[in-house]
Amino acid sequence: MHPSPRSYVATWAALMLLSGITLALARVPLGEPGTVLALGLASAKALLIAVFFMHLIEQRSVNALFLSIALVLVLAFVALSAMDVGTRGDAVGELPAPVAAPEPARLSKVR
Amino acid sequence: MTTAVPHPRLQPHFEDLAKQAHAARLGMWLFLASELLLFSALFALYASYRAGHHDVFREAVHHTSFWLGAAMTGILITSSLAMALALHAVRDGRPDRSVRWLCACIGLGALFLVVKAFEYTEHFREGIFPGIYYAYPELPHPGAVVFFTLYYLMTGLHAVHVIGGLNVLGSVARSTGRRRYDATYHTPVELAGLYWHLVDMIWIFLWPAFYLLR
Repeated sequence: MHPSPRSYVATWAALMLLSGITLALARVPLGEPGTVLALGLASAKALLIAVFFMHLIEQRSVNALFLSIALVLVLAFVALSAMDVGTRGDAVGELPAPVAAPEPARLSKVR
Repeated sequence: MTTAVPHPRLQPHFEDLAKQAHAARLGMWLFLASELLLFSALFALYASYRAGHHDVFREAVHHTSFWLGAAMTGILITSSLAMALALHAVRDGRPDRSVRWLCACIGLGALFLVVKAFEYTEHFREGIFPGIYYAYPELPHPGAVVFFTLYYLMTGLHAVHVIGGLNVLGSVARSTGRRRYDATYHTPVELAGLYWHLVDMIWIFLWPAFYLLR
């Protein structure tokens, strides 16, 4: 009914392998496809953890439903925020230039 | 209908232990979903600023430690394996073995924190501080300030979750050692495991964001 120790070790090995692939790919200049690939690999690892380590494979599907809904919401939030900002065509708001030797700032405006 | 004595851990408002365990698990998944949404707000910030300062973010990733990041990933994945084996052991009715695996998990989690502390110290030495205290001469661009502020915020929040997780695991390990859990009832071990695996999962996305997307 529930996974054997061997399947946990196999999951661990798969996770380490995917991490190794991610590491190797990070050394190669791939540009935008590299980002998509890295996120895809990370998602595959997250799926392995959820299904085997967190036992979704043996649990009732309503648990997986909670996780899936949260993931859909996360995806929507992150993607829409990035698209909003990324398509503005100008600087992302003015950021103050950093100081080389900072004075500690006055943290309160109360005199 | 059986008139057997109910399980000592069965609460009166549940029909049976299986339903009670399912309710506990579902509640934990709901909590995990809310934690995911907490981090999603920060990932959305990261994605937005990365979209606006793409090249600076790429450059800034070169200034985090590639190998320490990889080490931390390996440490957390292995700690997740230890956790899964700890749960398996207590389900099998072997609490002592479970305590050993839980201690391994805690040890690896503590090692993760040690590596992170070393990493932060190295950053401080170079002048990389969050927000207005940023003083890193090699990368003076405002986008880099945002990158490193997000870095401290997100990895810091994650580290707080790791510390909380270690506390929970320690308490679960103590109770398991005192034989409070067995093959019929081990819900706290399972729930602690779910939390720990989530901590690992979140790191799996933090890792490329701050260490790999160069």
